[in-house]
Amino acid sequence: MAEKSAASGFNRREFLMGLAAVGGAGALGAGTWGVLEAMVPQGIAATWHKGVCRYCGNGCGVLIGMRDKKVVAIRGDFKATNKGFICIKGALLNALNTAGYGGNGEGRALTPKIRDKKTGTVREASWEEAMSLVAERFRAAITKNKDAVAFYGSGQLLTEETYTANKLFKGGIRTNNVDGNPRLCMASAAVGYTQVFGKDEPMGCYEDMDKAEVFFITGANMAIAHQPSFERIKLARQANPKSKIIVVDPRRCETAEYADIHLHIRPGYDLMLLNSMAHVVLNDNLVDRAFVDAHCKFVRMVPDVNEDGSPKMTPQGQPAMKEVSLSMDEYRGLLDPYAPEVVAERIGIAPEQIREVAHLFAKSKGTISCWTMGINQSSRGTATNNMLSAMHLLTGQICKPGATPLSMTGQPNACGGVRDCGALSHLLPHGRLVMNEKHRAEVERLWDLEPGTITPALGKHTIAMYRAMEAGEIECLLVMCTNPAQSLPAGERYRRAMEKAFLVVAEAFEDSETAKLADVILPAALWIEKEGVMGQTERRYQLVEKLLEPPGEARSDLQILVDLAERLDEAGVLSKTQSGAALISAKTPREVWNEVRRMSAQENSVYNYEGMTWERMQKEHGIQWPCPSPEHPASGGKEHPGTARRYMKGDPMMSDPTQDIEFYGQPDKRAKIWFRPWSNLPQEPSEKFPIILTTGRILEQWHTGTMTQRMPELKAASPYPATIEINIQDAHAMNVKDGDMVIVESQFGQVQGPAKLSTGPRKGVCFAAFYDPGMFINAVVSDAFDPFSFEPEFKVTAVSLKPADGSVVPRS
Amino acid sequence: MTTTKLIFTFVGFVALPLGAMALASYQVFEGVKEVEACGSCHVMQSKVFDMKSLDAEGNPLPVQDEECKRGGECKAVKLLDKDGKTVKLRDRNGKVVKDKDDQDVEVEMLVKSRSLAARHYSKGWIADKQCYNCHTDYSFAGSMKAKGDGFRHLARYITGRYEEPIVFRGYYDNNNCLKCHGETEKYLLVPSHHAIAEPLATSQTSCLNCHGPAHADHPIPLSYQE
Repeated sequence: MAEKSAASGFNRREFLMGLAAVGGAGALGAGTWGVLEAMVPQGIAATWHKGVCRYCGNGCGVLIGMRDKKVVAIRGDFKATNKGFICIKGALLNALNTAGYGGNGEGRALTPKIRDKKTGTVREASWEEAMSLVAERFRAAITKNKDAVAFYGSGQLLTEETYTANKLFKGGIRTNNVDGNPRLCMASAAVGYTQVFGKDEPMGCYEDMDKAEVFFITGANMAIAHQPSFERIKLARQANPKSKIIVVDPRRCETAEYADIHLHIRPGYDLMLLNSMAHVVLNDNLVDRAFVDAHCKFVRMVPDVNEDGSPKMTPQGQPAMKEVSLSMDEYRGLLDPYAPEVVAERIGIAPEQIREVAHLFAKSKGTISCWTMGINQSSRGTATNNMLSAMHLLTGQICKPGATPLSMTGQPNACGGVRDCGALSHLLPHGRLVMNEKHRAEVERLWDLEPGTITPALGKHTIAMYRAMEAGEIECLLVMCTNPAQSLPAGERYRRAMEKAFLVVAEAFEDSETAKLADVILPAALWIEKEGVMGQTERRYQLVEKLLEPPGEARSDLQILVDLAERLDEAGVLSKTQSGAALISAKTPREVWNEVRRMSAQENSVYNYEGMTWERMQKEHGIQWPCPSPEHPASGGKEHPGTARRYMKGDPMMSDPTQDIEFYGQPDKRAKIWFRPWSNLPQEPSEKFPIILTTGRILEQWHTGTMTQRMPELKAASPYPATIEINIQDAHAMNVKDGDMVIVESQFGQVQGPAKLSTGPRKGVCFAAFYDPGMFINAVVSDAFDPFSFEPEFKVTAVSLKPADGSVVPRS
Repeated sequence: MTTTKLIFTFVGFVALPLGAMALASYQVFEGVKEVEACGSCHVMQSKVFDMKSLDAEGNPLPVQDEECKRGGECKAVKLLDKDGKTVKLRDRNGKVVKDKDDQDVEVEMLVKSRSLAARHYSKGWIADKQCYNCHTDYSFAGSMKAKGDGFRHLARYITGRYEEPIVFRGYYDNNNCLKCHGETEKYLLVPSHHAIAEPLATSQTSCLNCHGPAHADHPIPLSYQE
């Protein structure tokens, strides 16, 4: 008989049943919870890893999603400098390491290959055989003449690789024939900054885009070439109705479509425009006099003369120039010929436009200039860079948040590995110069070499290097991670030069135009198949971690360089260290990075990034130098990984930290406001070549397309063959219709491509992108170069256009 | 038992409670579409604050430090007023700057949060139920998966088995974006959208890659390794 509880009215049986029911319900709930936890979709990736985009110098942080040892997803890194924004190329990076061999079985270099010169065919070889051949050919050439060999690298190599190549060639082989793609890209910006501030690399940062009110974008199609940064500019523009985007471009490009003001100038006339803007600033009382008096000086170059008044000559037989200081009044007088009313017609715009833009530039609460190849790839590239900085200095639009001249970088690690580590023919690491005896002596001491080891003469810059190959002076060339056979100007000429030399190409893809000319192809690891440090536009270093094994027998470029160094050392053609240790003793990325960091902190460097330890790089989403110690976090009074802005309070390299501003790169701490007179363009329209050709990029393809053309989505979005964009009025005059094949011819060469009729380029201007090897536009492009930076003039070539026998190709 | 009694019993013990339960559930399901419902949970609060351009405490956001002089030190920052239309000038200690007549210095507000959520909100692109409009899988007509997630979150919330900051499991379905944007002329005129139509449709490539973070403190993937 069940006992009734007086208090509850339940008997024991009912009570127990109740308990069981509650317990059952609880168990059901908990069980459901457990099942649901197990059922939550884990997303596309099993693990996510911090990384850096492989492509341009915007240096976007990406999150790399992995599953089953494969990259399955890419996201923009919200914690990185790009704040989560990446472009379509970056968003499809997940297929990069499999496209070309896992994808369609073609293109990826998997084993070393050696070309039979007689038949032109390549055969597979072992690493031992290939490297023995390379070392023997280099040894033989070096034995005859140490300058008969050269290295041609790129801003796509990791910092450790570029540094090691530079040390091997300049310290070990004792040749300064070290150059690379940055000569075609950033050299004018680098020399421009150095001439003004005494040291290379921008002082500003991307954060300035959030704070600027006027965006002066010149010679840069940021909407497609630096899209994540341009998204940032668009957001800043939307947030502040007073802000203005000013775009200077001879083509109404994608960026110009967003502009408040588009100056549709004639190609190559940027320098004249900037001189005219400076004229307005000086004559309309827009100069920040207090800033200029405290921190700047006016300078120009004049012909140097001997004591007897005869012109002084350089050892090369050129008239020697010397720098002289000016007063502001003298400077204003020199700019008199550039009054807008005088020059506007030549520039191709109205004088009022020049005045309006100069006033906006000077009066805004913050003006940021962004530029790339439209300015740099010019025979006046350095001068134009100087004048851009001059505009900022004259108007005080510098060294404050939102105001800076910010040169956007083309290649991912040009601003880091190449410029910082000095892998150009005139440089040594961290802003030291080949020609400077003190700098050479310091580098020799740091590399443990006998005094006098480093050759004091300049090495050959890019164009001189390929011309020396043409003349047979350079016999062996090592090309790493770049594609000069498609990217050099006057391309056919330098392809023939490469065929004359013993060409070794370390490359991830064996079907690149350069690999097709190689005597030896060395299969290289790609992106996250190796580890190391990358720089980018705003002095930020970021770590790329290794997440995949290289396919086949591919090796990292660092491994290839270390192997070559060991073989050349064994062959007795490398200089010996004083201690007797191997010159290239750092053999892993971490060891090399530690050596680079230490060197950055020594006497003649102001690049100090010793505080960027490997552990810190693993942890943080990029660090900006200067960063002298691991504890260095503050910039401008705020917590910051490194230093956001240079030459102003918060920069640890300032000799007097109480100062607001100090241009410490110059001995007198004064930045130089240069006068750079206009000189006529090497290529102007003529009767034979009446049209000006200018070149550039498209959104979906990067550089010569070696990587991006393998992505089916990107390829589908790009026209193949690449098109020749022709102004609709010019096309009408030639009776050319959209899609007709046209021949573009210059004094350097010719190429055929389908016409794309457009109102984008000015009348008298045509445009072509250089990503397509099938439409080799660089064969037509001029190889005239800047006298200071030696950067070639890709942007202004006089050409003729004519229909190709009425043949029409279907639009892809 | 008479039929009347049976009906009363049925209505009283079955129909009414079930009806009330259904109505209450519907009310709850509908109620959670409101922004306030999302904001009432403190782990979601930051996202609502960001959408409304408020700071971490729900106060107005500082505006661009226009008063910053050379050297990067700001003598004053501007803070939004609660109405979201004007800003008050404050000194570095947060004290409101007064003009010569001892009135608060006010200027028009210029800068808001630039996250996608804040832009959709501040531009009035979505009239109401702003959270729900971009996260359409919950609510009464939502998927069973979302119901399951809701149950899971409730269990974790009640038992306190969660850590902050909360992290994101699974992935965001691009169709939440494409249902509004996918057919627009502006969308269709961008060649890249066609080039990556498939990875967009399967959410393998996120819309946020090119268009930026949805929230200022955008959740990071669970397995992300520092």
